[in-house]
Amino acid sequence: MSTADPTVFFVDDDSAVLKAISRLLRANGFNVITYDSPGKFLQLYSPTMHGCIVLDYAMPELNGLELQRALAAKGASLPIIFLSGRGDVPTSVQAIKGGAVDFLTKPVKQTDLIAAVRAAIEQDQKLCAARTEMIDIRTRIETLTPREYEVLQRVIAGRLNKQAAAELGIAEKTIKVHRARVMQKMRVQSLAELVHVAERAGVALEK
Amino acid sequence: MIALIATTAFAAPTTTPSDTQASPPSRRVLLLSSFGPQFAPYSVVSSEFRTELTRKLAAPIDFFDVSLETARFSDGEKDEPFINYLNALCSGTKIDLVMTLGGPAAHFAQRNRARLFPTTPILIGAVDERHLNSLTYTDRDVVVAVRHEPLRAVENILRVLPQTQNIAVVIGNSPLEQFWLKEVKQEFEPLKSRVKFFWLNELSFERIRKNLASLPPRSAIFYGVMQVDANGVLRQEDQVLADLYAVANAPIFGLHDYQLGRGIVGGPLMPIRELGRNSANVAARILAGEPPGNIKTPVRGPELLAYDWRELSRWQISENNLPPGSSILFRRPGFLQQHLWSILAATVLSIAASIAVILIRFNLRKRRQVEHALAESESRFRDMADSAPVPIWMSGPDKLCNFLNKAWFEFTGRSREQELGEGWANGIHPDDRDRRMSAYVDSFDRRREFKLEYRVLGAQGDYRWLIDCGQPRFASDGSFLGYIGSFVDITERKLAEEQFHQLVEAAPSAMIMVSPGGEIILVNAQTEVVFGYTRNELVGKSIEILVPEHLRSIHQQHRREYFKSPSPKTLGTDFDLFGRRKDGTPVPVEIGLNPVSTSQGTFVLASVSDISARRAAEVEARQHRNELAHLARVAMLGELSGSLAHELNQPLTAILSNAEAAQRFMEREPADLDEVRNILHDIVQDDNRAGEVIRRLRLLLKKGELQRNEIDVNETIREVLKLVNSDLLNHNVVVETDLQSGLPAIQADRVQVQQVLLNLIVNGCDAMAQTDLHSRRLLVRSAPANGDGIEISIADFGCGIPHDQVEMVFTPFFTTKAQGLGLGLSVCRTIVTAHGGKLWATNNHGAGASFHLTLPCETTESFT
Repeated sequence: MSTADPTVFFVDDDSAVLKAISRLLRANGFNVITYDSPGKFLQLYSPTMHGCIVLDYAMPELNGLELQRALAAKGASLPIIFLSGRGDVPTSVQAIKGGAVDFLTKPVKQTDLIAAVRAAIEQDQKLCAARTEMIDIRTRIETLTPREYEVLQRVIAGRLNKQAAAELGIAEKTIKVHRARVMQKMRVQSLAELVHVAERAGVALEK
Repeated sequence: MIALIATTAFAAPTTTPSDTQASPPSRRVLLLSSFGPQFAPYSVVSSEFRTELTRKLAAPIDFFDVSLETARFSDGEKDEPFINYLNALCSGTKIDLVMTLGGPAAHFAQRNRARLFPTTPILIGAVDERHLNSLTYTDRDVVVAVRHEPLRAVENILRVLPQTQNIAVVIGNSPLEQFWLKEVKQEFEPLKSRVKFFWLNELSFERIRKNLASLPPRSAIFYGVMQVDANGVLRQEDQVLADLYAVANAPIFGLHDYQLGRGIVGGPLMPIRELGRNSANVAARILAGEPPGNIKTPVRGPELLAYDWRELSRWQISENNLPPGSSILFRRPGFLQQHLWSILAATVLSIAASIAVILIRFNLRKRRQVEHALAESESRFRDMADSAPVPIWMSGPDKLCNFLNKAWFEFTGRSREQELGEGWANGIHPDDRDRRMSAYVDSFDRRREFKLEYRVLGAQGDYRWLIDCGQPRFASDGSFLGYIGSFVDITERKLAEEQFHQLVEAAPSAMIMVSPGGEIILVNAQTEVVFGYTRNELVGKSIEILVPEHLRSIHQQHRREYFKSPSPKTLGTDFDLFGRRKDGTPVPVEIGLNPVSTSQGTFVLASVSDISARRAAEVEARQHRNELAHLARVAMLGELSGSLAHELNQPLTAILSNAEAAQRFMEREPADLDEVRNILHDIVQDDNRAGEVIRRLRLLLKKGELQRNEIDVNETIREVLKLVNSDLLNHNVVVETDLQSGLPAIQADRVQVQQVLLNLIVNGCDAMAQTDLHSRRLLVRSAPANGDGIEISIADFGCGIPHDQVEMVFTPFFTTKAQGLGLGLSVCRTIVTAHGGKLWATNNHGAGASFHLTLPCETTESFT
């Protein structure tokens, strides 16, 4: 099992709980890796990990919220599910604000846990897919010449070729050539598609 | 073996009214003694008998004295020669009356009545009732019996000398004396636990003397009868007593009145002389023709209560110890006593020492003249009596007052004519008059001294309390002259007594005055309330009546010890002391003892407080303390509830997840039974863990009485740390422990000690709320305390305690927490103090504060 597969990373300092919940997750077909302290997990964390984190809220050294912050600082995007003995509102609000996907109270029912873990993994997978697409778009954008990029900015802002030509001080015919090249490089068939892709990649509109 | 002395006595012709008629025929009386004629008490009886019978009877009397001397050696085996002898002696002589003296003679006469005196009346005299059981009587027999009470004699010893521990018993070794020895041993049986008896009957007389000369301290001598010693040597009793008295180093107590004045201390005594006279009366009636079968005489006992003043003084016996109604004879100065002077002196002496001094000087000066001028004594006495500062009275044989001195008239302000005869008695307080008069008449008829207290109207118009001491007076020929007495004004003393009584009466606790012998002299109303007895049921009883049965003998010992050197003392404050109510229930008490010196010796005034109410309040306070501790515990556990929920949640979580996992494994085809087996094992473990948490919680939440057990402090600390583990985590507090091994176990209530530790740990965590996350450390140490026990300290790295509040934190309702009740530390201190330990706070040199508590290995406060 490689960490590239979706995996549940389970952190709890209580060995009995660690054993029982990881057993339950495995019985439901998940890959599980357990850590008996938040420190160990932080040490072994790698951005290539996929899946989700299940985190006991009350642990020595770092508590759940602190681990969440530390992971965020590392740019980790793994969804976190909190497990807590006490389901008090301030803690859960703070956890959700910090990016937790769910906040479960111990003892946790199998159905709740599995649903949360599925959702988190799904979210992680979506996130991964989106990120892959973004990287792809960015790569394509990087193939554009500066002039082509300027033309892209104006096309997605809805300028007519004539207007763009005037702004850039070049012939309308030249604009058309650049525009066709952009459509080709960005691998889109229509203007609408181009606008969508450029938007996702965060290309700034030329006002 | 046989002694016979026949004497003839004649009644004095001048004293009988029949002397003008022809002399009646002489009568013959045979006196049959058990021993020789010189053996007391028979000799005393027979001598009195003769004198009195001679005086009573108009006719001359022939006394035949016969002694059954075999009784010294054997009991009735050698009758025959004696019978023959008596028959020879009496043949041709008509004996009018036979009087036997003592048990053996009575038995002899009855055994051989048919052969010796078939028709002669027999007077069985000088015999103890105990010898009479086996006798058969005819209508010609009459008995004048006594009943000795040796037990009373010993009780008398213990009364007048309560310290007595040893009693040497002097009884001879003849068959008769052996009979008595057996009787006495049996009678003394109940006293064996109280005193040790030494039986001297198997010793020779010389050995007895040596023994009595070196008795241990606190010994007394019981002198029974000593006629034949263990070597068979005959002893005449007069000489025996004199010989013993000469060497004895302890007081001697006897049984018979004639011994008084010869060395015995006194007590209840058999009136032997009177017995002789009574027998003479009976004999006179028989000789006058009255059928002997009709004459019944009461059995006499030791009715005379008399003591020898010289012996009382010698052995330092307080007159106060003597039973009421005792007479004291031989008061000093003895050589003056035959004179009126001396009666005055002795009377006054006994009531007021200062006055006596004056009189004695006066007496001494006058003594020589008086001794050769008895005739003048009466008028001189009057002169002197008039000059005496105390009132003096005299009465004649008719009981009427015939003299009062000047001091009396000055006292009453009335005239001689008003007062003489019975007139003076009009001044007696009406409430006291009858009492005085009947007591006077009673003493007068018995010729006894008396001492009475009553009120008499004084010249100032107010009643004064007087002590009236009277003594019979006799002429030098022994004839009774009447009484003389004197008065002392004791009004001041009575007032003081009255005030004392009022004070005692008003006291809020039971006040009990006890004599050195342990007798209750006085009690107040509160005593009746506390113990449920009435006054009359207590006064005169032994103080042990108020002591629980099982402690009585110990109390008696303690009391005796205390009386040896009495000093003010409080009992019952440092241990539990109980009295006994009339209904037998115990009453918790505290006792204050105060010696009170009086003229009659040292008494002890005991102040007994019933502390049932205080005990109940203490129990209530303890219950309150326990309840408060419990409340504080519940409150604290409330604060810890999140943490405790976590402790329970962990195993529950594991159990649930394991169970659900197992279900999944069972659903597989084929079911993964190995995995399921592992899971079930884990579930059992998890469940045990949850159970353990609940057990610990339940112990802490348990309400109820303290239970003191041996506990291991380190183990207790570890348990508490487990309980608060998750709370510590929540607070990011790291606990470091430094628990010294090999500490002694302490006696304590585990739950309460845990409560204290929990409280201090939680406080420590709270104190570090503002501390940097990585500095939140709690140091828990255990070590031997300075001195005894162990010390636990809990140091935090928090904000510390402001210097002026280091002690204030222990006061109730003091709190620095927004939601604190402010009871935690105050309850903790109460708990530790109740365990006999201490709880205090200090600030650390660096940051934070430390709380220290000591617990002794053995605690003093009782938890019952």
